[in-house]
Amino acid sequence: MFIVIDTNIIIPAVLNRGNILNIFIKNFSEKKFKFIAPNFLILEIGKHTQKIAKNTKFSNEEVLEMLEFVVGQITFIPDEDFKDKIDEAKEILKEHKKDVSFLALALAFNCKILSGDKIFKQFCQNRVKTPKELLSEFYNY
Amino acid sequence: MAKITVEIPEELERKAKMLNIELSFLIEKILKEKLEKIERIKKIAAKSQATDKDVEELTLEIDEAMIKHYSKY
Repeated sequence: MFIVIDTNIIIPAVLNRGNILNIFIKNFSEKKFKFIAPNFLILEIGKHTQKIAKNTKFSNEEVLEMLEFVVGQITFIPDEDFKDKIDEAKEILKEHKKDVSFLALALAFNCKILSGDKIFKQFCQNRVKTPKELLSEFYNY
Repeated sequence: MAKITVEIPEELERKAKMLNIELSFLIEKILKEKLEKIERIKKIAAKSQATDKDVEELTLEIDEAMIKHYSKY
């Protein structure tokens, strides 16, 4: 089952804030979901490895290991595969521009989105799952 | 040694037999590798000194770049 992963899920997982990392640990062992994200996101995360090291006080090797563990579970989808859904996403999200690419990707793959953004959830009630909702799916067989 | 029962699709069992693979050995090896990886990740993660503000700032920076990139379509 595909699920789009928002920036606000990846960053707290790598920096280990809250219990978001548990989602990646559960999926690492159970492979219940196929995580996907827009390709541009991985390019941007790659630019911030030094900042991640500075914030966490991880060594460079530890940053790479955390990134490999979290980001390695995500398939990054080229813009070509979902750009035709961008206009539809823009129309739905109006001024909430930051999640346009995530919604476009979810529309293209006809799947849900994992996001901690409450405004995004308000715009797309049935499409956005919170981390709490997703974690509960791991425990409810 | 503890004993566990694992249910796998019959097709996988057939394949393992065909390839002459000892399933219990393979499962033990994979389980060990996975558990060691999770243990290592949890150990690294526990050392993090990042704050909620760090998460917020980094997420915002990336989101701004995402808005800029996808506004061209």
